[in-house]
Amino acid sequence: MPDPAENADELAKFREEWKQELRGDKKSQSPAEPKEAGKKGKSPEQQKNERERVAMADLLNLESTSQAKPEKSVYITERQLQKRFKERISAAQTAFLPRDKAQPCLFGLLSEEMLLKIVMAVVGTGVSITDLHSLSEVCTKFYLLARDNQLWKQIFRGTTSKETQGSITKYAAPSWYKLALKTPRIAYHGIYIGCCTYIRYGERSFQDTSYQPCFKIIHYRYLRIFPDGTITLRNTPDPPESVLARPVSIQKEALKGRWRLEEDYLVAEFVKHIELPKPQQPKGKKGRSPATPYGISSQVHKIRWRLVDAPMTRLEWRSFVIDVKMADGDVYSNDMQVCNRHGVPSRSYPPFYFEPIATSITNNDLPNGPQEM
Amino acid sequence: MAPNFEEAPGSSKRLKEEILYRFHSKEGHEFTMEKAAAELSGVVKQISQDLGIDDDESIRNMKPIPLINVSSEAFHYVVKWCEQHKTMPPWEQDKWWLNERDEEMKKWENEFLGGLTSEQLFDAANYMDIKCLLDKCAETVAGMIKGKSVEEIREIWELENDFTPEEEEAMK
Repeated sequence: MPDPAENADELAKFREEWKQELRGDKKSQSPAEPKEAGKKGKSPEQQKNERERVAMADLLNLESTSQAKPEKSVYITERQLQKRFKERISAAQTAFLPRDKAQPCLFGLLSEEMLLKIVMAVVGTGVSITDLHSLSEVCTKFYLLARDNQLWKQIFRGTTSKETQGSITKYAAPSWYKLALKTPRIAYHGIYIGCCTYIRYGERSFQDTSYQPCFKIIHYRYLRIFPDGTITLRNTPDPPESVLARPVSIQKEALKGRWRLEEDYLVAEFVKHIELPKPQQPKGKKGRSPATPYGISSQVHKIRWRLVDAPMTRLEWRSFVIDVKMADGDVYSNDMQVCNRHGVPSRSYPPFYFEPIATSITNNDLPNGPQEM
Repeated sequence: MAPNFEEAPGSSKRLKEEILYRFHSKEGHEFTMEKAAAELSGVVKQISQDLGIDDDESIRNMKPIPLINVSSEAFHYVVKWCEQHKTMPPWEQDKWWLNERDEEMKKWENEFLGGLTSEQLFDAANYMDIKCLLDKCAETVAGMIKGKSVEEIREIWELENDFTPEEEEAMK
């Protein structure tokens, strides 16, 4: 066994050599005993790790400094913007900059409370976020008003379930704006679109049996939620471009129903009344019963969607049951099994994604005016 | 053209049998308002509470309330509005959409505000704290904002764009 002093000496020597090597010195390395190195020390290894870490940190630093600088000047956070605008308004002493300096803007004469009332009325019962967005881009004051806490409380209340609101209000004075962006909510200012595709096999050719055409069928489900509790669902091959341009076009033949929110589920019930074909008595053929003795009198589609993700919330199918009521009063329940046994939605029931429509179009096609919420 | 204050519903030459509140406008014109109508104003309620005016007799004997911030023209419209709305059920402030109004009243309201772009009315409504008028004014302005593009809104209200290009970029 070598004595400890010698060991320490050797170690120091080794370190020195190693450092030299790292510096790029071409000095020949004295072969350190592998046994010794293995025994004592982690120190070369540690050093190496250290060096790598430093190098890495340097590299990162370099990257971060070289990247952060141009980014900083371009990217301004929400908070910075708000602060900046507030400062500018208090410095200028007028919140609204009129085009004609001699004539002050109407908004400049109104109180804060009144302005907020106007912004709230813009959002209104229809919770038209698109309008709010364009208003916030008009000038700094409206930008700040559009982020008002009371306003977003109103928006939050209009687009989430009672249960969600209940769980939130436990916390004291939340920022409703932030909360609204983080909470899955429904939206009224557009259409929920679900794109369904499936493959249909065509007829095999008679002459050439190796040929069989396949068709990719695309159809869309369009869902609209209205603040008055109405909901419409339409299944059509019309592409989204044409529907978004004329949302009224899908309303006519759409399935109409009522909706409500339960926790983070959107629950809808569509009632479809089917007019019974009048039993025709064929002349001259007595005693013959009509072809359909038990007609269907109504169908109730009960659907549950889950609100997933925020701020761009999508609707995922969770259950779909059709209650079929027969003319003779019997009711059959039909589970469409939109989810497999693991709870994953089936491929023929893809989620709905939200697509806003221009407000000038939206306002015209509400089935009824704003009613009780 | 300035409205004729002498023939207006708010004129001081009204029947003495009615219980009337009396007001002085900024210009010193005297106006009267029926009790139920005047009490739509939060300020009037507050003032009469402070002055201890609670019965009809004291209202009759009171001095005119000076409203130094309200012009005669604006007040003329305020009186008109209040007289029209005095029989309405109490206003639900937070849920104004619940405030049912019949078609006739809606039509009247729209005509009433349709001819007005006066900010004085806003001011008066705000100053006098008349909830239903305030809400209707806000609704009207909101209606002029809804469905418009950013540029259009600036055009209508003659507002200057006060964002820097950098900020506009950041907002997107």
